[in-house]
Amino acid sequence: MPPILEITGATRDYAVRSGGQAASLRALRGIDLAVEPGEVMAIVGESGCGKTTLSRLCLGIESPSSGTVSLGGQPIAGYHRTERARLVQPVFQDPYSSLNPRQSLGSIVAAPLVVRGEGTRATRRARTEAMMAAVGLPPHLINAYPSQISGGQRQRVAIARALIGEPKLLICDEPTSALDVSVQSQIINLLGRLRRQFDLTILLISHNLAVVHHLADRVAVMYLGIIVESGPTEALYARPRHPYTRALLDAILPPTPGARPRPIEIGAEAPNPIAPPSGCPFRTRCPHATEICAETMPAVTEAGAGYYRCHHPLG
Amino acid sequence: MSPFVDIRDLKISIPTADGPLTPVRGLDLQIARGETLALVGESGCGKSLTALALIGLVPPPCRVDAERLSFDGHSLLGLGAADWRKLRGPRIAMIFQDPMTSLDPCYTIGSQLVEVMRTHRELSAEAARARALELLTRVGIPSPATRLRQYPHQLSGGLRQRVMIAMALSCEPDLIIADEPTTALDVTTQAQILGLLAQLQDETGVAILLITHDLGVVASIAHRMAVMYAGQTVEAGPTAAVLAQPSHPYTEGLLRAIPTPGLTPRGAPLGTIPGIVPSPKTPADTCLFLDRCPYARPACAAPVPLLATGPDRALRCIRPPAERAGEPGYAALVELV
Repeated sequence: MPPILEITGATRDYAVRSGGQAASLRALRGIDLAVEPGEVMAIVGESGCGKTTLSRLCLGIESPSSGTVSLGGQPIAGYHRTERARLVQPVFQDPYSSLNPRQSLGSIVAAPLVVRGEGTRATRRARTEAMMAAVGLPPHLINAYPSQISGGQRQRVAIARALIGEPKLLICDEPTSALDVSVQSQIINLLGRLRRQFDLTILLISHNLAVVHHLADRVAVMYLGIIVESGPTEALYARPRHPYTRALLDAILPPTPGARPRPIEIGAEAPNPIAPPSGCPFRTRCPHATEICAETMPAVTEAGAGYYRCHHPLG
Repeated sequence: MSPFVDIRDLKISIPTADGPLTPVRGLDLQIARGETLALVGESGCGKSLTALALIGLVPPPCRVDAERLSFDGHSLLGLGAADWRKLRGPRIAMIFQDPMTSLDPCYTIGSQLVEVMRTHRELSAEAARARALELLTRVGIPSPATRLRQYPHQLSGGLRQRVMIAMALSCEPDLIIADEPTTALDVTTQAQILGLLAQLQDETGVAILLITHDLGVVASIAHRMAVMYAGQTVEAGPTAAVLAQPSHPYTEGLLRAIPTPGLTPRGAPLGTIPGIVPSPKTPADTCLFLDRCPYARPACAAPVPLLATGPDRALRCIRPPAERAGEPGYAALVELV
């Protein structure tokens, strides 16, 4: 089977002003990514690394400046809007801003069916009820409004809306970061269960490496618009090859007695994306950087089932 | 002798047309000199209001009542504005969550630091500037002389938070209240800021009240912790002891809900706490965790006091771990997804 989502050489430039001058910010600098049917692929990285731009390309909200994004084997630009929405749906971070406060939960969840003109009023209602049950929302909430429910329930509504049209691919951009710990675990469990129940493919975008470890089959680590390392979750966490991946893993703070933060070896400052460093983008923070890192962008090195981009990989 | 910071049965209520809301209704905590105490709880549990009560910034018309609310032996109840000014800054400093909104965008970093010091200390402009430079160096800001002349927008989030820490340290306080100091920061920056706070505490002996929802942060830096639920302290004790053997069912539930690489089996369902937090209108005439607790008994439908359960441990629950041993508890909850 071909990958559900395939991105090749994608770049994305934004026109910005910097110090009064017109400038170009390259948010994505050549992304190659393939997501296979049924897997959970996670994109991790710190703010400003291009995670959200990448998710917007996958949803077809934006087009790449160069390179291609394909859904189900065809360029995403070739689909009509409603066709595209049949294939891919988003779940956003903040369930307080992603639901219309003036719409009842039933009409929010049913919206994708109404837009496509699918079914009759009665069949839509039945599907809405079934989907609300599938995400664990009590049936009486069908006539409630977003202000009447909790944050965790709102995120369930957003997930129900995304899934009612039976998309192939779900793009979850920080789906649990706005939620409290006890609610976060409910949503993680729900995504894990729905994934099996609906045979879903999920692109999970997150900065929380503990959540990613729990849910994802594969992980891609982004830094300043490129993927610096990618591989199966267990292997990547057990043996990171890129110093940035190592630093992200060292920064996980486990809630266990006697846990002391491990020293983070990397420099504090992410470079300005308008004027990225020459060669390896990570070299300005890297403890192992040498001359070659300033001269050439490290090529992709295959390692096991994954790859990394680094001149001085960790052992 | 009473502890350095001593809060007993703190209540903060907000009068409304439908009767008072009490977001804080029985908060107890003690902090010793030089220690870091983490106050842990989920959003809306009253953590931040508690912090504001300690620096006299609870907004009107909220009412603050307590059996005891004292700092270094002095009661903070009923202090006037002038008294508060003598405490706030020189003795008790505050670091807020978002350094972008707590620094003034219209003034340079230097002038904001100098203003704080000259307000509270008899310092010449020159001496204050020299000290500002020293402070920025101390909190690990590279090229501090340049940074002093810059505006907040020219600094990254991590650097701004370092400036806030420098400002908090500027008058050599005895207590720093840090309200979610790393929540707005990237993960690698978070680890560095926590390291800095621990290092500065070693050097200066300042006490830190760390307010957070992140038990990973607590584990990494706090000596002691207090867990807050629905406006009450439900459990308190040394961090390692509480994390190793949580006594309150809520603490136990929270710890089960957090995935930890290497400990939690990948993909296996995480623990959850059923139900939702009670509203601040709910009267505290039962255990407030009652509806969500897998260990609840009919006897829990009465007010529950916070009681000492051992050296330096306190618990607000009538069914301590020894009493509920052998019950399935959370394990028996069929997950209601």
